[in-house]
Amino acid sequence: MVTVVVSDGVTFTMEQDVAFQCGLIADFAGGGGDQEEPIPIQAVNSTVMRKVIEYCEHHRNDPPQPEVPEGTPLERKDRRGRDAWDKQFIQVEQELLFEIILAANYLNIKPLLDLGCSQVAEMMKGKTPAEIQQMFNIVNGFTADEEAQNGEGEEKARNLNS
Amino acid sequence: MGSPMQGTAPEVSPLLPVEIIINILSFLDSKDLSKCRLLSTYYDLLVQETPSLRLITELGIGGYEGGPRSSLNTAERLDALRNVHQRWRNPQPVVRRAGLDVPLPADWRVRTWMVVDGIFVRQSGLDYDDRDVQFYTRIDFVNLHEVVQTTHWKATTMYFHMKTLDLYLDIEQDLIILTGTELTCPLHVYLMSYRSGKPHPRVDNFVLTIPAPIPSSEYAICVQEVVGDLLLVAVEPKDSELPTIHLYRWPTRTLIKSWISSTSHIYEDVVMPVPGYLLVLGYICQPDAMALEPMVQVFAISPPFGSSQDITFLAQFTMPMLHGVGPSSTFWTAHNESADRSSNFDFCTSRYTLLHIRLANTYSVFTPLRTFLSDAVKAKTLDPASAPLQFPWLDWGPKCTRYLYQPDADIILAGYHVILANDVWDFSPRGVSQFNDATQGPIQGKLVVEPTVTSRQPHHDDQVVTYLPYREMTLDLPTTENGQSHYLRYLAENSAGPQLVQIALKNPMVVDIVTF
Repeated sequence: MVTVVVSDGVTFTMEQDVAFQCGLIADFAGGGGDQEEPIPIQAVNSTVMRKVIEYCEHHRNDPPQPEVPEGTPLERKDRRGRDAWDKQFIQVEQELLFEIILAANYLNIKPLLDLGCSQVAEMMKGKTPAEIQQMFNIVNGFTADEEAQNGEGEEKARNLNS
Repeated sequence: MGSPMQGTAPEVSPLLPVEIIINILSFLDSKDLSKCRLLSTYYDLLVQETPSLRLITELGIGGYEGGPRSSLNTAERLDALRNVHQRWRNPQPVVRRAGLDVPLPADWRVRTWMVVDGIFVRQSGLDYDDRDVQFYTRIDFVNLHEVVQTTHWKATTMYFHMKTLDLYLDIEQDLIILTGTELTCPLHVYLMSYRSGKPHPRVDNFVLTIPAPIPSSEYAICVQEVVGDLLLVAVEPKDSELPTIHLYRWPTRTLIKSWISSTSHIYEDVVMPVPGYLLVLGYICQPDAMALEPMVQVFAISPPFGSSQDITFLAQFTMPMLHGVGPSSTFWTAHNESADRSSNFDFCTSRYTLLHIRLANTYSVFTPLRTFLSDAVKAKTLDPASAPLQFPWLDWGPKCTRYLYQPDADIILAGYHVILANDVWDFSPRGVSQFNDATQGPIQGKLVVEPTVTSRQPHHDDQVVTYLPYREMTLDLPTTENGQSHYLRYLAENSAGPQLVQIALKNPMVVDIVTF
């Protein structure tokens, strides 16, 4: 069993095969027997940790993921395990989604990181640039000149791709 | 990867670190990535300067997709891609000629055609075995990618101990599907291994019996497409022209769905442009008129790769009549031959790209099949009878398309390039533009929503009408001595660049490879 304590002081105890899906915990515990001291995970709060553990428990028996080369076409990339459970699991508010992504990044859980990122990408599809700016809290960094060019750019983007 | 961050730090999204943003963006296609460039200078730089994102964008714009087993890194692949674009812009045709090393007895009936990019076959008809009166089929495969420096192409000869008419090849899955010669029910196709010539190792029974719902004395059968475990077979009664298209799962040989043409709906073709979606192409017959109205129906398969699948109707498009075109209209479709994915290409042409619609006899329309799979369509489920969707006019034009081969017209459409028998038309990559005949040299395209017809007459007898400015180049294609041979011409394109393959149909055959 592995015990962790998160930022708001809550402790979680889980079996080793669940916990070791987090690269960070696996590195920390070093594979050597039961931990006495709970592992401190300051960057993650209990709400997010609960979701992370739920994910790790569901995927405890998964075979290791093959590497997907860069530049792989989208449809091939999407193939890797986004099953119905994953889809349901990642249907959360945007704020929580970003926190899960950050936690997966910090804890080093590649499949969860990719699941979160693909969900954000999914949310970006079909949105206008203004809507995406709002979503990512992007302050428009273009000068007035660049803005004018963007009008053209948008047209270009529309025409070059389909 | 540090450069996009420098100097633009104040507008970095505070919500997520840069490596996560890049990960998110890598799930987008080139269209959405181009949109992200409009978010801010930071995102613009991020998409432009991150090699992996840049590669997705450039592949998408050129109508390519990444090769699954490339040995190059991202930067090298970008270089290779740009090299190919450069060759398209400034083609220097070089011809290499070679014969085929397998002589055929003159009385054999031989058919020759390209089955996949770079691999063509000669299929010999029925013949009698020396010892017996057994029927068999002999197929010679010639892989144009394998031979580099010889004067003769090497053929791999295979014998199949059944009578066959046609074949479909999926090299990645080691699958060759042969169709039987039966003209009457029961109709058969055979699931064989391309490598061994024996029944495919995944199947228990290699014979798939195809039902024919519309009674007829004779049928034509055609394997249209294999994508993963899904298999599309069309059966057309010779006397009614009402095809039925069956969707099967192999190796179990389970029938998933059939599209049966009727007097109100005719189903011509079913294609799978992206995993999880089917486009059914056909006509709606108007009872009051002779007109056949072109139609595209969109279906979702969910889950796309699961073991049991539901087929859901999503939407139906009908083609409005163009101004000035009479009531009669025809259309047909074409999509790329499947690329040879077993080779170590760094990238290859997108597989399902093009819908070619011909309205009456003068208007030709090219559009990527993905046009019909907008997010709005994917999200929608509606009754086939209600509210057909308008054809998406804005997405017209051979933008991300690759090639169309029309044996009768000697025309190949390749992305921005149309290759006629002796000509290359080079389209502006700027999208749908108006062609102005009076303008010489580089043409500044003007964006128009509805296509206009160029006043220029095409050189050949084909009926191609283009709405785009083009640059023209004459290709000196080689001919055989008497110059009277029939030719098959194909465009094969991969990371080695575009190649025009010309096969002179005589015995022995002569194959010319024109590289640019």
